[in-house]
Amino acid sequence: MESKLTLKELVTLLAQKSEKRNDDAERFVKELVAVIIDGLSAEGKVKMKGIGTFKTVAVEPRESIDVNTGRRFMIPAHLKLSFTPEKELCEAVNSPFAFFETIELNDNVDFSDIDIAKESEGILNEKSDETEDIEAEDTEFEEIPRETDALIPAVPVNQKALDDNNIPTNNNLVGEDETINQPTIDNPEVKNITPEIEPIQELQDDLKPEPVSESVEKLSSEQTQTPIVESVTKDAETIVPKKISSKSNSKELFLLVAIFLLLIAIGGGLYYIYTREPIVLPQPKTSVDPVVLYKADTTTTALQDSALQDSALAKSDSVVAKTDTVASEPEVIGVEKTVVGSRLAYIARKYYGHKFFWVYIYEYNKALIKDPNNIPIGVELKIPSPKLYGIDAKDSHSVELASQKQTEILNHFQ
Amino acid sequence: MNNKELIASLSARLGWNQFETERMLLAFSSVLSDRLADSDTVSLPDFGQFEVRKKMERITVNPVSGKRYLVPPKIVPTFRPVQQLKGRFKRKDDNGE
Repeated sequence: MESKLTLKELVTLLAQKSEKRNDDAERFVKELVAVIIDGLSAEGKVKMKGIGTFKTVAVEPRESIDVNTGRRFMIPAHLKLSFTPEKELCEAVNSPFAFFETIELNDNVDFSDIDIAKESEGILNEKSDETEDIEAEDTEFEEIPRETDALIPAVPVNQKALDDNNIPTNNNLVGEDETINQPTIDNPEVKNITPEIEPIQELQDDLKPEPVSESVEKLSSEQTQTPIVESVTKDAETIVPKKISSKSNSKELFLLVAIFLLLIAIGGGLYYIYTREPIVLPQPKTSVDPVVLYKADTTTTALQDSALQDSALAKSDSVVAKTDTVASEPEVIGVEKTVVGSRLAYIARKYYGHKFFWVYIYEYNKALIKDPNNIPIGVELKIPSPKLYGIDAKDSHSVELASQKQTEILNHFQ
Repeated sequence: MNNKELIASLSARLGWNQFETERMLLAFSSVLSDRLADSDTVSLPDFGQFEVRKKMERITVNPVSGKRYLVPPKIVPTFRPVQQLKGRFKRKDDNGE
């Protein structure tokens, strides 16, 4: 690993591989080098199968300045040795990074803190090989937002069911939670999550004997991927203690690690939701939540069989009703106290994902802000709910509207 | 000079038959690519050294469509000729050959 091989070591390896004597291998390498140099001198190009092409490249004469004397001088035209590795070799070397692909960035992804390398020259050269990759990547990339889109329409339906139906299932709640989560996640993250789900499904198969997983599997077949994630955490909670007691082989260890990572990921996701919408997080709800989920779960599956569950049903009803009232959209999603260096654009980016939406924060707090370019320090700005103004950082139309509004406001203040 | 000519010239110098030389060359390239895949550096005296370089990920902009692409990081094999060899080609050109 990252060591430097001398001729001797190389020759030993080569002799082992070719089943020849060391001195034969050494003679071979020396002659190979001599032949390559001769070939380069004679023809200027030597091609070696499995390694690459050596080539001499003519370099134009150019002017330079001596760093010591500061005098100008000419660098004469000369030949330079270049090496182009063969595709095979490139792939073998690049195998740790082979799963990466070039991806197209969306317009609204903000990379203002990363330098954009305008390598137009590089692109023109690499265009022919890269466009294929990019096209293939394109389709793949577009599919992911589509998946989340499919989840969004499910929200109003679920909410309706919550209002009308007396026996709401827990996956309505879960679906709602997750759909709030999903659109806010940046695209790269969505991509990270999707591959994770496949192993989870495999996991589920292993865990089948658990009663919980059975009922959950039923649900997961109705819903899309998101409930699966939820269900596996439940599984994980029930399984983890058992597994620790019988820690034997590496497979189980791997399972534990996977579950642990998943729990962290979900914890992070939930934290993200709650910090975004602090009012949706009354303390009783968080403590009750897992219980409710579990209870509602059992009620739905056992519903056909027994009417004895009525009391429990009523209980979960009341809880769900409570969460329903809590979940109704607040007009203000947060309060931001301005300090020295606060900018409306930063606040907008924090809450809405795009800096252009500062115009709506300004609009909502007009009474407090006289000049959006110079906001007062120490005032508490109320952050309006994104629904109030139709704010959606992923919707280019919404961004466009905000941008128009921005020019309007800024013109007014000039 | 292509691979065939290389093998022919090599076997003439070594006094081996072409089949043997070809097999040896294959073994050589597989050893080299194995070592490079392990991020080792392979140096050949009087010639140069093969090594791997890591290229960072970068954002490129297609000048025609204005689209931005995230190009992932990659590891590439490189060859650095020894100074002596570099000088040899430089001088050769100076002589007007």
